[in-house]
Amino acid sequence: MGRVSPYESGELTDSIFIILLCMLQPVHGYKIMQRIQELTDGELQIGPATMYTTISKLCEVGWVEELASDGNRRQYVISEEGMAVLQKNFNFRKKIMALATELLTQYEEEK
Amino acid sequence: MGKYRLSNGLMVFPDKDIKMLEAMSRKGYHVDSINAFGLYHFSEGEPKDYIYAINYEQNLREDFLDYYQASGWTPIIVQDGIQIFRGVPGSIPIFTDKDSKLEMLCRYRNGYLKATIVTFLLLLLYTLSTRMINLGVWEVVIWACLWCVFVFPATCLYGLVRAVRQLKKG
Repeated sequence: MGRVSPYESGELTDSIFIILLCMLQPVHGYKIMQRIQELTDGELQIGPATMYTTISKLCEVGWVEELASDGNRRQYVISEEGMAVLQKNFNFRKKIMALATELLTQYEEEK
Repeated sequence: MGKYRLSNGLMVFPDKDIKMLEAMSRKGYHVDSINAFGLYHFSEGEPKDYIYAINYEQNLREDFLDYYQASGWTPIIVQDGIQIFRGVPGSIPIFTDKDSKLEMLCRYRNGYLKATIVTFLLLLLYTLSTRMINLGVWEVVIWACLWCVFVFPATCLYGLVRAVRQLKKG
């Protein structure tokens, strides 16, 4: 069976998850790459083609809205629909982290 | 003095072209253009250890190049449907995840699939109609032209299907 795209399943990859987080405020597309690098101390880097393709797709599925152009540079912001998807993924990741913390603490205590 | 080299088939074997462009740069010849027949032109300069990346975006937005320039990639050839960028060793790859590359390749593949089907149907219709209408010498000329129109999207489609398969496997 073929893989379901994250845009269909709503299960975000790490890259899409962080890109959406950076779009909570209106931002120029190319600046998101720099912001992600700063926020993660260079641990996560997004290439330009990945960034461009992801933004195009996010606009297409309606998770991101394009704001009026500032010269040649377009600004993007998360939409209500995108916010709902982001929140759902955040809650899921939070649960996983809570579970991981619990199990690792248990493991450390038993050692 | 500049040099010319023929592409290995940019749509079918992009990796071969990238290797060739990088090898030429190491010899001091840097690509600056490609014509409609797939012939690259190289300008002479200092030998450099450049790296190259190829992308196939269509309907480019006006902020397209900002993303590449902000990542240290220099646009060399930018046309609708084909873009070649030059970087230095250690540059962040233009695609950093499989999903975005698959997304772009599948979108592009679907466009060529439609074009291949349409040109194939044209070819088929024409071949059938020549059984009823005699166009004389023009019959072969039109047939050859339609074949050329069919072969281009079909070849691109082959390359893209191959690239999608490789990416899904790898």
